[in-house]
Amino acid sequence: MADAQSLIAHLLRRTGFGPRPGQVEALTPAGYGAALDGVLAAAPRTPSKPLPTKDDDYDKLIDWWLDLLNDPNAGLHEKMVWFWHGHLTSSIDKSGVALMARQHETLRKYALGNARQLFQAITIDGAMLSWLDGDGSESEGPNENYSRELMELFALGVGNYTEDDVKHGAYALSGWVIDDERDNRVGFHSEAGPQKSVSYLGTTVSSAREVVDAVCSHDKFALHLAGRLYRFFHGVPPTPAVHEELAAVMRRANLEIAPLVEAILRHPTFTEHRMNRPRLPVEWLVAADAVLDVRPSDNRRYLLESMGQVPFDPPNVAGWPIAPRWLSAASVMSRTAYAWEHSRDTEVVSVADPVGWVLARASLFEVSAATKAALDKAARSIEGRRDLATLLHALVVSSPDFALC
Amino acid sequence: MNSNVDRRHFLRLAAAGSTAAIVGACASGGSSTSPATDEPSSTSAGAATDGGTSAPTNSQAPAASKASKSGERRLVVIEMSGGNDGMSTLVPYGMPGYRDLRKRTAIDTKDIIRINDEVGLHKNLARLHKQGLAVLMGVGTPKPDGSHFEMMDRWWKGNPAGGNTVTTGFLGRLADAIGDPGARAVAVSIGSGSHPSMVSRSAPTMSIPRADIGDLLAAARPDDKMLTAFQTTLREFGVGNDPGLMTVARKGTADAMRFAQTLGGLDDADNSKYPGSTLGEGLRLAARLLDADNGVRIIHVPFGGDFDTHDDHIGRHADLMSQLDEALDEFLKDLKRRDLDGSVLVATTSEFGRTAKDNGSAGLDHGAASVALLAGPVKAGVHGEHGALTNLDDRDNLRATVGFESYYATIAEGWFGVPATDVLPTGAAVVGGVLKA
Repeated sequence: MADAQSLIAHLLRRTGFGPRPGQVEALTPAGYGAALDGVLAAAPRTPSKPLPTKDDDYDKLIDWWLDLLNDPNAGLHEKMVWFWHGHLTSSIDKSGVALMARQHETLRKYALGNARQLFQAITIDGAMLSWLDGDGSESEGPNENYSRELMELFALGVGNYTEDDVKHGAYALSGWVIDDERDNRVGFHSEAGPQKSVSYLGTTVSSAREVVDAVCSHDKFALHLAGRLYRFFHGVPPTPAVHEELAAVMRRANLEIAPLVEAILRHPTFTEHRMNRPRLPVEWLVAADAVLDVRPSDNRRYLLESMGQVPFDPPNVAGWPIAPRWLSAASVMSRTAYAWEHSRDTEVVSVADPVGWVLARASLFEVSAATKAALDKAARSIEGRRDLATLLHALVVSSPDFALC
Repeated sequence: MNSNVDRRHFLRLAAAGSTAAIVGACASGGSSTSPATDEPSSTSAGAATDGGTSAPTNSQAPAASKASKSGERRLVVIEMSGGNDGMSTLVPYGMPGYRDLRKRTAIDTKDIIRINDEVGLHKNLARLHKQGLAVLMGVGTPKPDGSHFEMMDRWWKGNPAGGNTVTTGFLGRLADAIGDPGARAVAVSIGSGSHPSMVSRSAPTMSIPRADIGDLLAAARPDDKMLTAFQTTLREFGVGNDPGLMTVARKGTADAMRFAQTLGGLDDADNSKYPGSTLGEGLRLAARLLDADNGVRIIHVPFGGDFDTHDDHIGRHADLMSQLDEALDEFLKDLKRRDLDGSVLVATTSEFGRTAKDNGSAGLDHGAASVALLAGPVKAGVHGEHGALTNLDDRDNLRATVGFESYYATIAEGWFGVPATDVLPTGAAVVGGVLKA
């Protein structure tokens, strides 16, 4: 069993965007259990600055969120907003700044709230209507895009619905529009909407609200979300038994999200599943900036584009996969260049163990033997303390260990 | 930024970072496609170097008309994301209907390089016209979609009908067919992450996020102890016996350091005059990579400009044409200096053309058919058939006269000698007469 420090570092990596230097050490005396309680009890961050909403605020909106992620108190709630953004995707590329900002507020509101309310809200959310073509869909020839993705990716998973469900769902979801003459407010045109009830997932529906209710009441809904969230926090899918157990937790909680997340994080397997998930570029950049003590620049969109992940701009409707691609050579090239250019010119406090000191700043308390040996060797090859600090900072955030979380 | 960015001799590296980072900006997708959550096959370098058992079929490739060092034919694809307007690239100035459709976006006859009585090139393509540009007209697909994402996906995968059944990319499959599985990379994309067009079954393909990465990771600078220690340690990070994902992370590091050696060993091409644009930087690196004769056969270069000219079309598009002209002209000259001009084919792609009729913002919305440009060992001039401007499709767009899969077949079969049925799910007929015999 790893020590408390290693476990707390694991907890903070998975439930936040750090850890930042010193955070783990501060929590260690009280132990892992208290740290977990603290993570679960933390209040959501309230953004101090208003969301940018102007058409040309594309870069500002991205920086706005990254600033929140850089906040030392960005914790579980922020991580859940990040999860939902990658799960219930929409993109600034198609939906624009104002609608994405509004959607972001919705995700913040329901991130740890009730899943049924979240799905009701997102189904008639402007950015989502734009992204998956619900906007202007009419019951005579409805657009099937959202209807399909709602069941396939967002709520149920492949194999849990029929092609007729897709068609009928699209029919019942029709009639919603984004009114660009009224500040892009979402409206409903009953004449373009469903004119009758249709069979859907074993029940009958005649409105978007009933479609979402049918989806959320479906037996696979809690199972689907439990699987996705377990994978997100644990790095691996749950075993069938654990999967069912967690879905049951969510059903019993009337589809509240917080009890499910708590069960996932309190599950005994959580502390075993360490260092088995790649840090996605945004997670890597926020953590690396904390270790390198870099004050983030503006226009981080271009930097993140070179790393392959831009907030508010997912590559497709499936979001960003938790996949080995983030460990590819191209990712390593972007990260090492960033690390080299931003490593700190500062003195290492501990001359006795400079490698250990920088590893601790990066919260790598259980670094791999090969990485440790390479770092020790590097430390012996450089004499000046400032140079040594700069080099070790660049190397530690470039290490394969720091690429994992 | 941190004030010590420029503390050592990486001024160029730091300066180029922001431009090199812009590539691949438009590689996003949403819409009705439902991609698998995990990618079908890795596009990282060395993805298949361990188990690359599929035999390359480059023996079928006809001999290059002018042999390069290895005599192998290569391909450079320039992706013009956003939807390039064919009717402003090759202007149908003499075709009935042109000036009625383009009330605010017609190009003056004096700004056209006449090819024949019907069509002429945009004047900003003068240098490429002089070099000898082949223009394939009417390229598209019979049932086009209006979504960037959907159409890019079809082009990337070489899958004209769309849908989720094709998981590899056209360039990836081409790399499978022609490449040496032992090469560090057969196909390279200048850009971030993994480009969907490069997903292969077995050939190693690779993305390079910044052109100058070889300077940092591979250049030998014995006088700089810190840089040397940085490089040495990173190489050591690539070796180790660990369980699980750490092995993958180490392999990514090892791949990066190995490919950086390739990049670091390239000449610095100081005699070239490439513009500092994303395209210029990308083509500059492409020429150096191809000249190194190291197994890289296919290079994908994102243009880095925005062809999605919904407003102010005339000025924006003219600027893009100038960028293309300047960068590609220098590339073709560079290839000649390197004695590669007979063995590199350049081909452009764009997900769709633009509406035949202009909109109220002096712009053009998402259209259908467009033109494809080819340079290198090509027969200069226009090829194929320009769709009639008086017989538009039901969305008032230009109809395709040739499927983009035929354009791809021309590259695969006509240039590389790879049967179209090996690399295109639908197969396709080659367009004759475009390439030099």
